[in-house]
Amino acid sequence: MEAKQINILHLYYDLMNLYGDWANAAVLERELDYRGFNVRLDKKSVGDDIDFSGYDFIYIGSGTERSFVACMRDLSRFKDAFIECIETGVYVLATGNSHELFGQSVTDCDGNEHEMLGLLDFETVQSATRVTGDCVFSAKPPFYRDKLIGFINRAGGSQTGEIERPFSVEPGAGAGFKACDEGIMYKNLLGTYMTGPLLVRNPPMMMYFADKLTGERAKHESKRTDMFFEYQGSGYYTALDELK
Amino acid sequence: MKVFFAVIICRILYFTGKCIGRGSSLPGKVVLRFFPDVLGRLSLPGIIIAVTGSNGKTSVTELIVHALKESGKSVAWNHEGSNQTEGVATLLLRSASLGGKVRSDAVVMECDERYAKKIFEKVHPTVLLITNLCRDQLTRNGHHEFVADCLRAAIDVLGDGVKLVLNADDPYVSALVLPKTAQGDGSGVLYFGVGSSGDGVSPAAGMYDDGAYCPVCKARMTYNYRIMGHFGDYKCNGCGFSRNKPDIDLTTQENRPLVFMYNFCAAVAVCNAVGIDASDAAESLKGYELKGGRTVSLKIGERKGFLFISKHENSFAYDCSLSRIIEQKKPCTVIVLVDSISRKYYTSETSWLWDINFDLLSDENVKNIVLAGRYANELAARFKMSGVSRDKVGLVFDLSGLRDFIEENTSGDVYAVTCFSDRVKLFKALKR
Repeated sequence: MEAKQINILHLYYDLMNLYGDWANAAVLERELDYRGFNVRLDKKSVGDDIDFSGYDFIYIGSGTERSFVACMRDLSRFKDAFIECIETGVYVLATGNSHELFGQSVTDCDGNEHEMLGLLDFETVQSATRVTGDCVFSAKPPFYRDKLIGFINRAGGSQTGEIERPFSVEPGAGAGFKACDEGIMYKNLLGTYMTGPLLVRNPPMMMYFADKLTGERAKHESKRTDMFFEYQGSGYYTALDELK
Repeated sequence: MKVFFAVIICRILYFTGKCIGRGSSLPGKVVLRFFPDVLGRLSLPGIIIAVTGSNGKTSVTELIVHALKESGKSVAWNHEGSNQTEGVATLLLRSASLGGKVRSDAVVMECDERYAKKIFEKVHPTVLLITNLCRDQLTRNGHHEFVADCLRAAIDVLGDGVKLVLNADDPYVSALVLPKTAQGDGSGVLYFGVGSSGDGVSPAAGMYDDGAYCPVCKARMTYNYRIMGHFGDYKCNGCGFSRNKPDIDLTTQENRPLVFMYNFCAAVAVCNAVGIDASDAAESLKGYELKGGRTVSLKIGERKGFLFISKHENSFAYDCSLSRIIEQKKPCTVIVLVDSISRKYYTSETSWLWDINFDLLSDENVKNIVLAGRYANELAARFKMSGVSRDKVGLVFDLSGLRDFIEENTSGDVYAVTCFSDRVKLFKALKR
C-alpha cells in the first residue's frame, strides 16, 4: 500500500524567522517521515503565488515588528483563502507575534493601528518595552498533558478580547513571569507567544501534531529506535529541570 | 566638592575591588547613586570615542587605543570591558584628577548597545562607532531591529555634534541615519567596509538571512556580493536604499581573517575621524596581535589547536568561528561545549543553536566532532538535523571524561568553540 501524502507549508519562512523557527517545520517533516509517510515541505514568502488548497499543516514563525507588518501586508492578498483553510480544519501553528495576525488589529508602539485578518475577536496593543525570557507553560485540555518549555520575545503591551486561551504561563518559573493565560485556539489553529523551535524543544507538542496529521497514535517511547527522539527528549528534561 | 568626593569614593572602591578581584562597574554604580549628575561636571578631553554594536566592540576598542597611543596620544579607556553606564562612570572617574579633569588626550569607551542612550545622556562622545547589528543575546536584547531602535534614540540624544563611523556593509547600521541624513549625502558620517574578494557570488547566508528584506521598507533586497551573513553590497528593490561607498576600505592591505579586517577598518576609520591620517593608523595596526583576542592556543598532549571563543546566544559569532576552523584546512577534531549559556543572567534558552550553520562542519577535514556539556543533548538533536555525518559525532556529558574521550576516539588538531562562560571549564577538562 502506498504511504499517505502529507503536505506542509512553511509560510514567510525567510521573513518570520526570528530565532531558529525553521526547525519547527523541519522537525515535523522529520517525524512524519520517520513514521513512514510521504512528506512535502513547501516554503513560501512575500510575493510568491500561494495556493492554500492541499496543505495539511501550515506554520508561521515570529518576526521583528517591522517584518510582522510586511507579513500582514503580503498575507492580505490571500485573506479569504487562508481563512477558508482554517475554517475547513487545516492544522495551523502560529508562534510568537505571528498569532496576532488572526485578531482584529495590532496597534504598534507609535500608535499606528494595523488591520489584521479579523478571524478572532481580539486586539493587540504594543508598547515600546520589550518582554523577553524563559518560561514554562501548562496547556489546557484537549491539548497536552505535559509542561511546555518556551521563550518569550515580544513587544510589551497587551491583548484584549474574550477568547479561548490554550496556554497558561506558570508563575515564577524561568524568567519569573506572572501567571496568565495566553495564545489562541480556533478549530485546528493554534497560536502562542512562545518563539523559537518549540516543536523541537517540546516533544509532546511535536507528537500532538504528528498524531493528528497521521491519524494514528505514536508508538510508545520505549519502542522507538531513533536517537534524535532520545536527544530531543533529554534536552526537554534538561531545560525543564533548569527552569523550575 | 561633589566631584572631589565622587573621585575619591571611586578610587577607593576601584582599588579595593581590584584587590579582591571584583568587577569594575561597582564603583561607578555607587558614585552615581549618590551623585547622579557628576559625570556632567567632569572636564573631559576633546576626543571622546564611543564604540558600540553587536560584535567586535572589545577588539576594536583595543585597536583604536593602540593606534591612538602610537600617534602619541594618551588614552583613558574601559579595558576591563565594563560597558554599561556604571562601567563608563568608573572609567571616567578613576581617570579624573581630584578637581574632576580627565587629563588624557582621548577617552575611548566601549558602550553596551542597549545602554548607549543612557550613557550619552551623561557623556557626549565626539565620535560614535557602530560596528554591526546582528542576532546577539536575544534573551537580553530582543532582536537586532529593537537594538537598532535603541541606537537611533541614542544618536538622537547626540544631535549634530557627533561624527558617526558606520559599517557600510551592514544595512541595519547604515539605515540608522535614515531618513535623517539624505541617502548619499553622508554629512557627518564616515563609512568603513570590506571589499569583495572578487568572487562576485553570494555565499550561502547560513540558517537564516537577515539581509533578505530591506531594514527601511521591508521590500526584498538583492546583493551584488556577500561578505558574511547580511554584510555585503546590497540594494533594496523597493525604496532603493543601498550600500554607501566606504570611505575606508583597506582589505587589500592585510591578509587576516575577515572579522579582524572589519575591526581593523573600523579602527582606522575612527582614527581618521579624529584627524589621524588613515595610512598612519593602518601602519600602526599592521601585524598587531590583540591582547584580548578571541583565539587562544590549545594543547592536548602532542596535539595542537585553538579555542575560538564565541559568544553563546550569538549564531554570528559561532558561524565565524566554524568558518575559521574550515579555513585552517587541517585534519581536525572540533569540540563544541555548551554547559552554561550565560554567566551574567539566568537562561536555558537554546533556540540560537538552530541559527548556527553547523553544516560547515561537513568539511572533509573535520574528522571528529565532540559535543560536550549540560546541553550536549540539544546539540546532538541539532546535529541530527544537519548535514553532518552521524559517524563523526560523539557526546560527552561529564566534562571530567572529555580529555580521555578526545585522546581515545579522535584524531587531528583540536579546535574548540565555546563561550567565556564555559572557557574555564573547558581548560580544566582538557588539563591532565
